[in-house]
Amino acid sequence: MNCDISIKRHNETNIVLDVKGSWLKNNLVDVNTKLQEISSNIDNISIIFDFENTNEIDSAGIILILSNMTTYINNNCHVTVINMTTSQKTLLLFYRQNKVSNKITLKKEKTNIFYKIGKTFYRYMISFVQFLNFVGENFYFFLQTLIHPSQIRFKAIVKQIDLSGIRALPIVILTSFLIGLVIAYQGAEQLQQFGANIFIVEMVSISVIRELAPMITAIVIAGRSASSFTAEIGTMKITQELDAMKTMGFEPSIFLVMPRVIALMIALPLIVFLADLVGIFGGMVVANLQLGISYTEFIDRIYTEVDIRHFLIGIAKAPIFGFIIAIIGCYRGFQVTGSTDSIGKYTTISVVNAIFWVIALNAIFSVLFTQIGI
Amino acid sequence: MSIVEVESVTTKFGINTIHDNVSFSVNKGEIFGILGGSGSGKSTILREIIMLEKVQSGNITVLNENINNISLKQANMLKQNWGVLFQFGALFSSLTVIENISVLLKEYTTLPDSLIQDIAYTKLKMVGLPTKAALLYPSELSGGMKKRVGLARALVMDPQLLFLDEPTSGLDPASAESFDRLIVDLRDMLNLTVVMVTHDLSTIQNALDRFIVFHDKKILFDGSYDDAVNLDHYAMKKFLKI
Repeated sequence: MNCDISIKRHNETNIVLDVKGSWLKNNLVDVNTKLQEISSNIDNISIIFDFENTNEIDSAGIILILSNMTTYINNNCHVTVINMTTSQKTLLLFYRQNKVSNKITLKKEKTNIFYKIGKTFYRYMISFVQFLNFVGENFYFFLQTLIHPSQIRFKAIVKQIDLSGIRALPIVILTSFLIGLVIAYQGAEQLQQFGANIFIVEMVSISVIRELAPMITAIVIAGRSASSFTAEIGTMKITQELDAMKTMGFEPSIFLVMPRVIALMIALPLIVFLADLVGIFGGMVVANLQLGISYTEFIDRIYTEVDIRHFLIGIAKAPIFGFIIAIIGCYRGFQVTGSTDSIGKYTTISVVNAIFWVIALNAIFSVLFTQIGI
Repeated sequence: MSIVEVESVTTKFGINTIHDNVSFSVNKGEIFGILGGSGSGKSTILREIIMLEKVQSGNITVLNENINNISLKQANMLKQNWGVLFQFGALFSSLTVIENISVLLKEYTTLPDSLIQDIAYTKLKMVGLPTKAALLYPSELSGGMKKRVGLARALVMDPQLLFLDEPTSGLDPASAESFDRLIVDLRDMLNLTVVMVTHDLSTIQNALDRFIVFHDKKILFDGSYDDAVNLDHYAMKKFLKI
């Protein structure tokens, strides 16, 4: 069924419009343009909508006619309707009552480039200050729990170590094995050219235990745990669980943030230790296959040539990475507001921030430790 | 003429039987209530009727379509003929109020934007919301406003059939009453058939033409409020506080 509008009669004082067919929302596009054509060349005349040939009309059809009526009236025309059924008339009156003439639109912000730069910078600054506030607040509660150790949530810490540490082992083992493998494989090619095969041991061991194992592990954990911390805490905020906790006097800092931070600070050094072993093992496998260095030879040379300080530096960085990952994950979780899409937004931000800071801190440490000669 | 026909539906979750051989029907133009205590399966039967939950055994017919074996195309046609208002509005949180209302028109019709806006603003006013609420996001609305926006969204395609899940729960008595009145007015004006899950006593008295009460996996009662008052059953008395 189609709908149509046409001029039935037209004389000097009035126009009769024939509203034909089914005025349903699926076929109003053509009549909309026709109505606009009619409205463009009329002025100061009486317009009569004749509904004699109308089969059915829905809200979209009625609102379309009402919108055009308004235009006609604004053009000094007089509008009347005839031959409407009672139900059509009630609908027309009902929707006319609810017609909104002054729609509102969103004001566009100023798009000056300096304004934008300034605004972004200001936002970053505010966000940084808030982050420091958050860290400070948690440090305060940390000191408080040191005075009252019974407040420390040991069970929650153990649970978090399980969730964020132990469950992450398979993927950490796999990635660090592959890293050791790749380093050794690429190194072997080059070292073979100089006949310096045995130096593969120092190359793999130092790079893995000092830099790569801590960083790769931290990145994997950042991807896993920072996101889950943000999503968990963010969901708790939306469902008002956080509010409930606060009213019961359960400080979210002690119940949620500290267990996660402490868990990662404990778990990460241990995982890094394992990643060291697996990474070196990956190198050993390649050294054995590619360069013919036996496993015992490899391990002996680690003992004699690789300083313990490299290992210690690598391990020492781990708790710092753990701290930064957990604190960023939790902080972004608390920033979640109202809507569900803000969980997605802050989870993304949290992972990106956590990975960035792991890499940035690693770079700072690398330069710092080399400069002071350890 | 019955709009919704539920025939001997049985639902089990694991070993838990929710409905045991339940049948009822909803007539055209009625405001029909599905009542029952918490966990009595009233929301479940609604979810089965609106095809969110699969019917395990029995038949459900909605607008002359048997939803047990319905093609994807028919199901989509059917879904445009009903509107659903969820308990907490279920508005899309990334869209503004006016976008929430107009999303169906944008997806399913080729109407020009200005007309879509006209329709959406009219429906917004129709459910009793001020124009200035149009550009707010759902997180900025109160519970009652969310429900009204949800109602406007459910009505935007001019459905014949409207499903409401606890429309007045969480509203203050005055808002609840005005919401009930709105539903009745809209039914009279737009020839709707309304099916609602509720346990609000004033809604039961003021808005419903007829209702069923779930009790112990079965339908305990099917009729109007006046009949229910006269029924001598402890569960009914407890339920209706008489």
